[in-house]
Amino acid sequence: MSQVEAHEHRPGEVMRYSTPAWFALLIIAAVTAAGCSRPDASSEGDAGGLVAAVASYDIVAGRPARFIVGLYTADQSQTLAYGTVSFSFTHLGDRDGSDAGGQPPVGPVDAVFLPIPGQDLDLGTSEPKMVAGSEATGVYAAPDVEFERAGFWEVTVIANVDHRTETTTGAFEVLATSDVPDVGELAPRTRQPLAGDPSVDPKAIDSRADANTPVPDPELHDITLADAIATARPAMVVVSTPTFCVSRFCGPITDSVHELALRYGDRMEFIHLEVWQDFEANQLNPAAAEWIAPTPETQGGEPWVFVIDAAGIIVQRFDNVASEAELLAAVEDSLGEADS
Amino acid sequence: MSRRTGRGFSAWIAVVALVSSTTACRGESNPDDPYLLAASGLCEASMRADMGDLDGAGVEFYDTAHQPLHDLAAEVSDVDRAVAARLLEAKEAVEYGLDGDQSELGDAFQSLVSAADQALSATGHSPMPCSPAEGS
Repeated sequence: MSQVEAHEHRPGEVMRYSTPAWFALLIIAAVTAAGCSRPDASSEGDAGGLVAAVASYDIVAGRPARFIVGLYTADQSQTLAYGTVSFSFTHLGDRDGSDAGGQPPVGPVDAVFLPIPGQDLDLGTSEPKMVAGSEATGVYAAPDVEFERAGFWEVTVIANVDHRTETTTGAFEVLATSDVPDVGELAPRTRQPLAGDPSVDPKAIDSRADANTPVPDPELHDITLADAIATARPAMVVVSTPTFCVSRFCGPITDSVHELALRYGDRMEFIHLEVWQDFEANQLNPAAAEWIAPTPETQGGEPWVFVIDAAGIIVQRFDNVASEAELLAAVEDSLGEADS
Repeated sequence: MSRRTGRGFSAWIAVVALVSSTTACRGESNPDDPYLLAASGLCEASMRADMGDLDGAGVEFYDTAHQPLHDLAAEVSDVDRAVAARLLEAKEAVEYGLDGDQSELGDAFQSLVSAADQALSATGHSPMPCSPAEGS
């Protein structure tokens, strides 16, 4: 099996950039910081210490898509949950530093709380409120947000919390083209190693496995994606690394797909592609690399869930967070279309 | 106060006292360190688990330590991926214990405290306020 080396930032490495690129580099730094969820990696709120972390991956110009943001206090001791907040979007500039503010703003649009799977929450709670992570965890999602122009943008979040208006911002990049297989494209005919393959470290099939722990969720590792597509049944593919995930979403989303496999596995294929062949050596699984090829700019965001129709075409995709309701609806849509 | 509540209160006092004493014993902590709250929370969760308060351990772990440990893993993965791997594997073992098999939760917490201490050291942050042995 070939090895795929992930792009790696090397501390201390000195690079030279042309002067016009400085603006872009500054923005990239801001976008990178806002896109991940480190304590020092998101914008401070304008009031009340609310911090926004853009959780969407692979935002593409001209393509309406769900836009998701996590909201929490600066010390991460509490997260905003429940109810609805408002997103509005401002163009900061192009990647080459030109056209700052040259695009009309987008929004405001409503964004509703989207819980990560595995929680039993009363989503009828109408107002957002700050809660501990053990009470509720999720992001806010606005459907079908479209940016006409690639470049750097900023989301402004307004939330009414305890009769106060909280405002915060987060920067992000809109790409000209997708870095990840997109809706309407042919799904890669991936031939990933399966559970029980003696030539493959079990950890490279599911990072939760090791020499003493068998590959969990065997229902997700019993057929290659290429063979699954050849059966002319719809398929759901989760690309994730439950152990080595740097967000909190990989494990729950993998568990959700497994639950769906147990319920619908007789009518649809469900597959997990583990991200890492060797995490410590920074080697991606070639199978996962056919779907999410990390670069310094994309940060290799995962997890992803893709839904593929019986003809092998990608019909839906979910970046980073997908609720149980979203995944269930995707399955039922697929089976409805397959039956019709 | 019921006897049960009284025992819980006493245990709580013991936890606070132990965290305070171990904080004083282990190196200097930078009060502005972004992981200070998470590190203290992890120590407390570990000690609660050791005392059999598994619900309390889970709440403390998820409220104060869980997301910052993801952040710490991301940070340390830039400088030492073996340390990052150990941290994430230890965190996953704790989650597994909290969610289901609790028989080895104490050992899992001990490994996580040790792995977090290594990760904090590798990234130049303040050390864990409890040692692995104290955290178990």
